[in-house]
Amino acid sequence: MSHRTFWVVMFCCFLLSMVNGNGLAQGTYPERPIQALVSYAPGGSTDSGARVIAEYMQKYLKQPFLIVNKPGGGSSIAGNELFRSKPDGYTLGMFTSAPTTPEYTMNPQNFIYKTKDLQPVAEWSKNLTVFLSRYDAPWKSIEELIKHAKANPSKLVWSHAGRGNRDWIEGTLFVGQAGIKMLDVPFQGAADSMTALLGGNVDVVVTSYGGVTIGQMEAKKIRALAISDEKRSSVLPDVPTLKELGYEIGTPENYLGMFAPKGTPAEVLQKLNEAVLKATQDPEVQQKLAKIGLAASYKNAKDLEQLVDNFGKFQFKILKELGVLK
Amino acid sequence: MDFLDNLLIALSFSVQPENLLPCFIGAFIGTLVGVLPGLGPMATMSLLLPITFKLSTAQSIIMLAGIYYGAQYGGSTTSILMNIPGEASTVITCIDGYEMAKKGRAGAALGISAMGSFIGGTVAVIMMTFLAPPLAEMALKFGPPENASLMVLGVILVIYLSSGSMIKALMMAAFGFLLGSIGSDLLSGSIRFSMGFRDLTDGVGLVPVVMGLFGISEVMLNIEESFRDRDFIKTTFRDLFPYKSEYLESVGPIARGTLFFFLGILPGGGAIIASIASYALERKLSKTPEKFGTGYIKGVAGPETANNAACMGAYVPLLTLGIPGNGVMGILMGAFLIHGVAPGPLLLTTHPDIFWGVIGSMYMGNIMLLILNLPLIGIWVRILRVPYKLLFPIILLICLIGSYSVNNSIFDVNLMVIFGIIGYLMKKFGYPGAPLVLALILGPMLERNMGQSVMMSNGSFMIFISRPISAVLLMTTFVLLISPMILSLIRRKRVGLLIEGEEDN
Repeated sequence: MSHRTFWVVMFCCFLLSMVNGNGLAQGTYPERPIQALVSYAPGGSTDSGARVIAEYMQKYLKQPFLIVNKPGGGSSIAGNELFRSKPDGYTLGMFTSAPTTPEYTMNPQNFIYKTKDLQPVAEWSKNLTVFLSRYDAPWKSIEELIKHAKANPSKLVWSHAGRGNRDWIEGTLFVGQAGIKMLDVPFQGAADSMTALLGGNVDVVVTSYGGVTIGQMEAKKIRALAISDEKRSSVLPDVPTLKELGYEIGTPENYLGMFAPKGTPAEVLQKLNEAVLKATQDPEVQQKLAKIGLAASYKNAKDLEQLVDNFGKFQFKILKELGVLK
Repeated sequence: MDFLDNLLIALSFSVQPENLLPCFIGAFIGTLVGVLPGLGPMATMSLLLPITFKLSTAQSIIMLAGIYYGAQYGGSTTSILMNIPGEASTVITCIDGYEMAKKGRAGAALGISAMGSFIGGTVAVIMMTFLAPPLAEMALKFGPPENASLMVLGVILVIYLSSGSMIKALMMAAFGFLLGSIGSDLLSGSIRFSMGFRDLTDGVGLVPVVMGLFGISEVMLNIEESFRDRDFIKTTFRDLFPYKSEYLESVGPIARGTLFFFLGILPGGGAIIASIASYALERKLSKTPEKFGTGYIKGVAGPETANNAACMGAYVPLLTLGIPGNGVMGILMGAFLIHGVAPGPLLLTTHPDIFWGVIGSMYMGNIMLLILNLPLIGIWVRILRVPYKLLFPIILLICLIGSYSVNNSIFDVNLMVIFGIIGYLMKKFGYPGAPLVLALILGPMLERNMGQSVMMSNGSFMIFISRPISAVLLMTTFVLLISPMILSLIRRKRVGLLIEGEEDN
């Protein structure tokens, strides 16, 4: 074997080992970079939150923890990819409810897997659904909004991110329970909703807190009338819950969790879970998440699994009741 | 003077060395990303986002912002030299830019595009320094009805776009609208025409379509040509810089191009619509519209100014209102948030160093880009001497990476190849691509905004006429549409009178 061929062969082996990753030596996890899928485009609150967690996962796991954005398809592109990837702990998902409850969404045909096919690892935060109005609107609270809406039936407009979405479900349930008539208009993304709200084209926006809403709240351009959570949030301590105001929406917590493909080794899951726990307890992380509008919140795999299951069934039931799912 | 104060504050922040370096890096990477076809600022910015954790907030934003406007400079390079748009917003530059290159005037085209970009960018930043807050308020006036009417006005641009057969242009626009209707319908939540492909749930991606129609198809045509043993562009390169007459001709288009800054401020407006609109406008205003499409400098100067001006406009709603108008601004917003700064109406008062630092960096960035790009022209032009058989695999590879990187999706790569074949056939049979691209962008926006308007008004179409801005836009459209008809009627009548008069005699 000439020198050159030797080096070529060595180089090929090197390339192969790169491709196969853990091809040669089997050490302790993790021994190469981990990638985590996010089902949204960069810049939103889920993506920003995942990036904060990723920074600290990197610190605890001593390996790069890369966020890969796979937006689209109602989160099914990222979900399907995670389902198809090798259950070795090197591909994970930083997911919201949409890709984790595939059979209970508006378009189950988009997903090639079921809820039980993904392994919950841990919850690291949760989204808050807020009901927002302009700061100078004639109403300052939910009660006043209802009074105003009753005096002007089918005049006020509220917006959401599209039929079948979580904020649509919560808004629709609230409007129904309050016995008021409001027009609803879908807007693609929180930025469009916010433009319409500030421009006076929309009167109430139901959306996840974070991203575009934070700067507007600070500047007193908008006011949060209520949140849909069961309990008040540390992120918006002054905002009442719908439950306090007498409306039982009943949506389970809007988790942001880490998920792995089913079949990932238990010790890998354990390690990831511990790292998430450490990260969510780190005051620095809590502070950074709060600035994005998220509250650090930890749940172990079992509790998260229960939550996912509850949410999926709740969503399915409501979508049927509201007549959007046959 | 408030205005001068603003300017001085901005400049004083930007000349600080710790801000100059990230600005240069951003502008440099932007140019590179712009030159490489398909590889866009969005993918690059999201890749670089983690790196900015180590920088200060102002430095991060300055660097990331530089990538976006830098890409608008570089984007025209391959449009002109190879008829392959470096960015989606330089599609229109291909038409006259490439014809100029064929005549051996590639240097002039690149030169005027760098000048136009510089002037467009700088005038836009000046307007931003003085007018940002009131302008942002103006953008808020554009609700769904106003947007819908603006889109209607945009659609008629198709008429002014093609120099060939009008029927073919309209057919392509119709095809574009059809493509635009693929994907989930926001209003009902259901998915249309996805043919079972999950990746089509969000519609056909713009970048793969543009890269396919214009990039891949061009490579295919050139390979075919090279089999016939014809060299790529054989003409020697005379005069790397525009002639005096060309400068003079470009003054008008560049001046009007800077006004597209205002279009950029509107959400979804963007550089690509601005460049197409500028081309259509110049053609409409020109006394010699037949020169467009044959390598006319006006067809390069206008759009290249417009896309830079509009790209700057996109920063206005983010910096002053905290609302990102497009995907790139969404990433910048994320960068702000990760650094713990929430962009919003208060940014100017709570973080003046960031606000003015970023705006100031844009003055510097534009100057750097001009200095960076002018000497590069000579080098770029020499690329054409590289044998095509060596060049085309590289172009193809970059296109593949570029289309993949938008959404990290293999489907987009396949889509690009399919549109490459469609584009090849279109070029063979003389169907223009620009109307298709315009319709593909405007169609979904028009549909969405129209639906939202009618939902807002509880089903009444009067909302389009009862709101003043919307009514004016619709009136303008109407006048533009019927003006040729009336003009020809008047002309016919005159001719008719003449004939009658003759008969009388």
